[in-house]
Amino acid sequence: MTANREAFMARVRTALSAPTSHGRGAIAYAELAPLAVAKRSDAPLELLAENAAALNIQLQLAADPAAAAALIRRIAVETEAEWAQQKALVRWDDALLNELDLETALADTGLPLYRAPLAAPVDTVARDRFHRQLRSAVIGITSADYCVADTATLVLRNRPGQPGAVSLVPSVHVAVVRESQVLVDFVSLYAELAQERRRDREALTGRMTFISGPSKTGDIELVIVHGAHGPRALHLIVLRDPSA
Amino acid sequence: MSAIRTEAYCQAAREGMADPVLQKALSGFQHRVAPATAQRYRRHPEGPQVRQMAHAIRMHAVEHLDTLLPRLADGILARGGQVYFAADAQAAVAYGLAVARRRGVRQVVKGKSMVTEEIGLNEAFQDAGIAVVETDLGEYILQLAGETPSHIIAPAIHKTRKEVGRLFAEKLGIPYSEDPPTLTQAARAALRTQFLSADMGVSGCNLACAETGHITTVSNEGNIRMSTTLPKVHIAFMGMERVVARLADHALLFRLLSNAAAAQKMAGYISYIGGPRADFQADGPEEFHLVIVDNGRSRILADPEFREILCCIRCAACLNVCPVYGKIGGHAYGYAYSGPVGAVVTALLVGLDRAKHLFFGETLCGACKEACPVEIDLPRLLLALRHRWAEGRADDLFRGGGDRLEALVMRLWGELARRPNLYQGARHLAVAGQQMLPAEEGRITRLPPPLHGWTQARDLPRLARRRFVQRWAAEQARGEGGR
Ligand code: SF4
Repeated sequence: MTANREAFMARVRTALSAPTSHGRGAIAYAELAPLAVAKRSDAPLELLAENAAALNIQLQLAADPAAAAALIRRIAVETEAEWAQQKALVRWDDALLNELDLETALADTGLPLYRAPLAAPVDTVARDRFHRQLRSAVIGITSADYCVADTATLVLRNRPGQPGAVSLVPSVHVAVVRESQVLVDFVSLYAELAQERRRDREALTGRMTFISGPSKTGDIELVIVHGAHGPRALHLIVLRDPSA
Repeated sequence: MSAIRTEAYCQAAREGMADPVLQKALSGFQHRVAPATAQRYRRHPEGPQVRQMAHAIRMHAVEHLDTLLPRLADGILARGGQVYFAADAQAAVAYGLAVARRRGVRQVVKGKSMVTEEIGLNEAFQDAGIAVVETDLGEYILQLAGETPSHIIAPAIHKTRKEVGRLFAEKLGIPYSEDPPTLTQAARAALRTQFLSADMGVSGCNLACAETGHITTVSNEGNIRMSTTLPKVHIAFMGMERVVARLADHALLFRLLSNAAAAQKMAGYISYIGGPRADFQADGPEEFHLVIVDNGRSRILADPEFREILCCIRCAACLNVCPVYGKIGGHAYGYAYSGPVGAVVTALLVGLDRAKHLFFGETLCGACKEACPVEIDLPRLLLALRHRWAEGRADDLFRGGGDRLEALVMRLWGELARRPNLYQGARHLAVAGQQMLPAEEGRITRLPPPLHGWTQARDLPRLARRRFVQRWAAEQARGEGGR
């Protein structure tokens, strides 16, 4: 295997020893790269609302964790089952979602609420159980590391208790973020990620996902249809900062 | 390698132009997507030079592949992934098959990927008795219909909802419908079963990041996320040029890619994948393999004239504005890649002689260069291919057969141009001779064989009776006389 890598890279090196590219050399990469310009916004939440609407994301603001939990309860009651008779929910096991105390908020609905396994390493039994729950769930609830207002993008990373599949396999995805996690645009997002990487080289983790809207397709005569393979709906709940 | 049908270009193009359904689909698509893309380009805070910046980022990466590829590979190895460097299509396919056999794979779910089309992965797997399901809705439709993609991003634009309705009724056993949501739902249900039961997922790679050691995948449907999350094994294939140096480079490129591919501000899903699942993860594949494919790319890299095409991010924006693609459709290009990018890439991958119609067929109108998010000078590349082909240089791959007759005419012309007397003689002969050719409004409508090809689609102005130098001298004399 190393032998084929060596031979491959030797070919690349030989190829690159040819004179440099046609024309274009004048614009040096180093000069251009920092020019990527970050957008500014005095009202990122308004920017987010505008872009979320364009992407068919159901955006709602919640004043406190209890209000957020109440919103999720309503979504759970109103969403129709798709793959299983029994409506079930599956959620990440993380600090923000724990704060919402969904278990209590949903208690009177009788709907099962599963939690992704937190203890590492995840053994086969726990993994199989999680997969069964995942398949049957109609709603997957996650938090996110960032939310980008300009593109209505959620940034999710895989950590213990936070499998990305929760945002993918159930019919509907509900994401909860704090207002302080809202960034203006992609340029600021990448600046944040770069800063995180300076502290921890593996900050991106092995799997990072950007989600902008529910699953969609236009493959039949360019008619946009939601719910091609992933979630058919995406609810985004922004938890207002206490100061606001 | 997948079938190469580039020699049949002219015939296939005629068929495309005669197909009213295709004509309607193509013009509808181009009119909708192309202006919307152009509008998106104008809204970047970087201003009009945004595409030039993207070009610089891509060119920088291409010219540093010698450091970027090892860096990418080491990042993935460090997380427990495996990386295979494939010299050609056969090696890439053989590696994929070996992994599948070792894991006893019987069923594969696949996300849309151009490089796997190029290397003919599906055919090889199917020959080995492994079922491969294309999961992108457009690709799924084509697979059921037994057809090939006609567009890089929207592979099934040539299919109407009625055709899809009939196809699904027949193959999926659902009641006939021509309602896109109903049809999409049917595919969603059928494919969900496949995602949950497949033993292996196959994907391409959009733009890997060398600095962090991740590949990326981009989709709107979520099918690539499904294919790379649920099965126990994930293999990703990438053309060796599909990498950028730094994470921050993606901030610009993903915006432009989304604009270019579907006039979106941002694609629905972008995933960074840097290895198999970690032991704390409840989801993700046990094994992750990255196959980095050369298959002729190092030869393109070695040629400074054509190296620029390796900046391509396969967004298909050039197809969406191309007047030739818009008439003949993607199938005419006879290979995985169509449109202006196909005319260049295909020729460089399969050889100039086999694909000459593709680069002679484009019009050099320049629309593709304006639409390209990384501002690749496609017209320059097309011209360079014509030049290279006509010169008939005997490089192994970039050999052009040249046209014997054209070469002869050029040589004669060269001889004539060097001998003024002979030249004058020939001119007199031609001026007299042209009277015998059919003409309309002073233009020759048909040249005799073997030159008749030239007048097939255009008329030729007649040679003037008096040469320019004679007229000029006369005008001068008259002018001076009048003063
Ligand atoms: S040549 Fe440019 S426009 Fe065409 S597919 Fe490649 S990147 Fe897109």
